[in-house]
Amino acid sequence: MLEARGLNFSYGKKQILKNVQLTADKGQIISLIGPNGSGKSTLLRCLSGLLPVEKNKIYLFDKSLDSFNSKDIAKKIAFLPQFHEKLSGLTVYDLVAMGRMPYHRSGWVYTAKDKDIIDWAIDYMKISEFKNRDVQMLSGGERQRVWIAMILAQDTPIILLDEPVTYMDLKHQWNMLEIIKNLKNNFQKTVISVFHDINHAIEISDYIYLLENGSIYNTGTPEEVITEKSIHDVFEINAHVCKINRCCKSVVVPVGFYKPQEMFSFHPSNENYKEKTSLK
Amino acid sequence: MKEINLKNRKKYKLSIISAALIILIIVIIFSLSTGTIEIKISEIIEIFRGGLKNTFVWHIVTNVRLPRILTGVLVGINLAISGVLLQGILRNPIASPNIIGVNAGAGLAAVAIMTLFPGKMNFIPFAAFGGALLATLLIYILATRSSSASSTVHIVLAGVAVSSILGALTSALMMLNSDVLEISYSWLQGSLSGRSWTSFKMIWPYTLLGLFISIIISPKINLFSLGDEMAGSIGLPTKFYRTLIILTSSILAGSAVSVAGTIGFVGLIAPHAARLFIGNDHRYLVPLSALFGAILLVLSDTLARTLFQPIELSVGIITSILGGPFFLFLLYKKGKIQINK
Repeated sequence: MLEARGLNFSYGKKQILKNVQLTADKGQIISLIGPNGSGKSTLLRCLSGLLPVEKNKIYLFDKSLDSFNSKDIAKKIAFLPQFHEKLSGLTVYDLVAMGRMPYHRSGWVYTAKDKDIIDWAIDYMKISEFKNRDVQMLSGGERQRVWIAMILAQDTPIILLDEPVTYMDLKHQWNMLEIIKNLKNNFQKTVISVFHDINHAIEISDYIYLLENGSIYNTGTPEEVITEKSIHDVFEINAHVCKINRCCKSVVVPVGFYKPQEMFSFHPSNENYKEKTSLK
Repeated sequence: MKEINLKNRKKYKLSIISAALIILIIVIIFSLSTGTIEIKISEIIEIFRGGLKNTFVWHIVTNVRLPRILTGVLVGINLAISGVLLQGILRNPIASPNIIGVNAGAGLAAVAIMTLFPGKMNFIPFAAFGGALLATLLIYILATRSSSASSTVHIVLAGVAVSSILGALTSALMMLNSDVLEISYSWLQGSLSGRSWTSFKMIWPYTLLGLFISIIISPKINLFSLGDEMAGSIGLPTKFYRTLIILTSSILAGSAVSVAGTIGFVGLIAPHAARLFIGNDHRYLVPLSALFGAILLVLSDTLARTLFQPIELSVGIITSILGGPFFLFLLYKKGKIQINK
């Protein structure tokens, strides 16, 4: 559905993405993880069509992304950035309704179909009790649900999320992960999301892309990609990757820079490794 | 049940807009009747029905006060819409026509004519209009050259810098030519004194065009409140609309300044006052701001010409004296000014 084929991207002279290959198919959840500055958010923005990329590098339904105009892209791909503008003087309903914009010329009139989809998105995200409230009055968790409702109203097969659970408390974090899983399970949406917490990525992903300095370090299922070695190589930190009883997914437990020799089986001959461990 | 709620909200907004329209009409009639010569409301109504032709009172109403008041209405509308457009797309509460250099550009051009070509005073409105557009263009080019991602911030910063340079040049011209200090100062304060149907004819096409464009695209301005990135991702060609909106607001404010001089504050406070009543939905905010701008300007101009008659104050002085406290009152009464940032 959405593919990057040898994608490069630079801000000015600084190259951010190098030869990135990515494939997302229908009903998959794909996570992008990696250290700060590894290019995850930039990759997401390139895929969403917001950044100017070279021709014939990104394909949407097997057609080059640059052959679509912004409205057509918006009918296929929804994108939710990490930081939202502080809004006021707009109701929850107003905001969700903006998701219908790609289907309109003027935005003055909403059709019956628009209203049905808006109402459905509001019900689905369980925000109908405050749909006439000012967005400003909501808590962080409620607001995030409103934003998700808005991109659901956009009615796209592909949804891109930039750190959707950052700055939420534990309960809201796991609620949001549950919502993302349901987008896949109930509506076969394709979700590509940036995560900071590797455990979140493991929890919900079909495939993980681990980025390092703008290149894909490794890709595959969570079990294939998230290993003690890969975490050490990319994040330069030591961690246990363990399975806890009754829990089917692995959990990453970072242990910092302590006693790597006792815990890991990677090569002590690695020079980087010696430098890093002496940092403690 | 909730659906009814939404409809009520719409009804409430439309009723506020209608109320503002009625207030504007009352203010216009009040302004027509007050002045050095008091004119009875009954006489004004008679004149509108086609009576009292060619009497002294008829002459004052149709040839002196009406053109001045209607010019004031249009100037108020232009400045207010220009402000609401800029606040909307720049997501900056202190954005007003000043920020895109309209006042500074028009001021420099007008003062340059007064000092360097004193024989060509008739040319001032055109020069001011041109100066306003050029200043906006310069700021826009400077801002968008530097970056595309955060160009809204760059527009504000470039606006401040360019405006202060142009303002300094204006001051220098005035000091070096102190013989025109009085007229240039009074022009810079803004005035509707002696404006005739000629001024009205100069400005109405721009008002109509600006109003038309702003109302048509008002749902798109709402999208800018989501942030440029989010607006882009729901299919808005942000660059195109940002350019269109800045151009429109420059034309609106530039044409206003060209007939009335640089009247401050209206473009800043009319939108904020309107926002406190009906929120941030530009479909309603644009028309209500326009009406508020017109009311503020006509009321201020009436006071400017009657308070200390026969001396007339500049209308810009009154908009600030009247608008400032009113603004503060709203600010404290309603809690806080609502803006997207």
